[in-house]
Amino acid sequence: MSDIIVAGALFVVAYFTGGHIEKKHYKSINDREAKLPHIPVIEFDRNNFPYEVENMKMISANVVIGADYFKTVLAGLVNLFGGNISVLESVLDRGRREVVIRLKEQALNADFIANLRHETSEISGDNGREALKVENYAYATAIYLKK
Amino acid sequence: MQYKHTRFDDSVNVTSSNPFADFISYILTVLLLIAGVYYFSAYLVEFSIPYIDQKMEKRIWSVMFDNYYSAKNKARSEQNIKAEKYLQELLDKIPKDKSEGSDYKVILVDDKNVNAMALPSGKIIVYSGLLEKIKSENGLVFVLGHELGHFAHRDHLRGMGRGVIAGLLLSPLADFSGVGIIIGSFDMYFSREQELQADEYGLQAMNSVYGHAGGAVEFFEYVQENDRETFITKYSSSHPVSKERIENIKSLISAKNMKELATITKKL
Repeated sequence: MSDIIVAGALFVVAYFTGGHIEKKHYKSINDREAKLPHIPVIEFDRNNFPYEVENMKMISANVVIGADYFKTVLAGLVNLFGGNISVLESVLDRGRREVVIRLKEQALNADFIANLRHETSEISGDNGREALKVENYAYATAIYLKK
Repeated sequence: MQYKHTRFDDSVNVTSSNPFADFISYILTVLLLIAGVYYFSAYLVEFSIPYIDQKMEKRIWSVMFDNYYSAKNKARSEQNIKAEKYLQELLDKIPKDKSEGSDYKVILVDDKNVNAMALPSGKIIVYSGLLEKIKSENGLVFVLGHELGHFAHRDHLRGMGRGVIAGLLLSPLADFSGVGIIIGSFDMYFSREQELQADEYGLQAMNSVYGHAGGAVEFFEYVQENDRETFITKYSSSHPVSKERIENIKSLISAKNMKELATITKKL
């Protein structure tokens, strides 16, 4: 009985705290995206590149986003039947956008960011009872042109 | 080439939905599914019980329980073995239905709990706590008779079989904590009925051994005095509360015109 009460309380609390944190994070993402200088992200082929490159630098960033207990349980329920687990989409979306912001912040004066790659991995424990945690890692090449 | 920045609306990446409404609809579906599985497995068990005779039951379960309890009882005292022998003698005194077979065995387990239970393959587990607290032989015979009642009604197979089948069918849900508790609460009412029926069987058993029904309520009186039963324990426990059972036994005694004479002290 007490198990159910604890789980239920956690669940309701997580619904509100998780929702609040996500809202705050989205606000911060939108603000920072708007403030960043407009650095184009391109695919780069060294042989057919029309500009002269002065300098290149590898940049990488990572971020870990935890889905709250509510999202994890709901995802588990949806998983039983199949279908879109839309409740986790925001977790991945936040991770990808945050990691690109962190990447660009390392190369504010670059002319291009080339060959951006994303890696996503689940780093939850495998006992299935923990809330889901997702790591987003991204790497790219910052390109500085000869002026 | 002049680069011109355009901001795209990437909100399409996140489906707008109401997660709480989703949750409610999913949890209702799961609950319906569990209820369905539960009643289906109850039906399967009821269907299969007539086909499982004692021999088969023994074959299925004895390996498991024999190993478990022989490991638990490895270092037992002289006194413990004597007490188990005494209980076995009492059990053998109780007249049994021929069709059910008479191969029942008492196993005394060192445990402070005041309880006894019927396990498949004709094993009656008695905790030493129970042996200590019940003073009269009649009271012990009632408890043993009660467990025999479970065997006669094949309750032990029902309870276990349903648990096993429901567990198998619901194993994909096992991660979702709370499923066990939900299943347990379905079982409750059924169990209460079974307990009352087994009480009646136990009463008959002690009446046929001693010719009277004195001492039948000793166990429940002990439980009533030592267990404070709250509203929650009444509905969360699978056993009906002692008061209800004492009343049930008393009304059975008067309905069947049984006598209540003095009890015999246990010989230990």
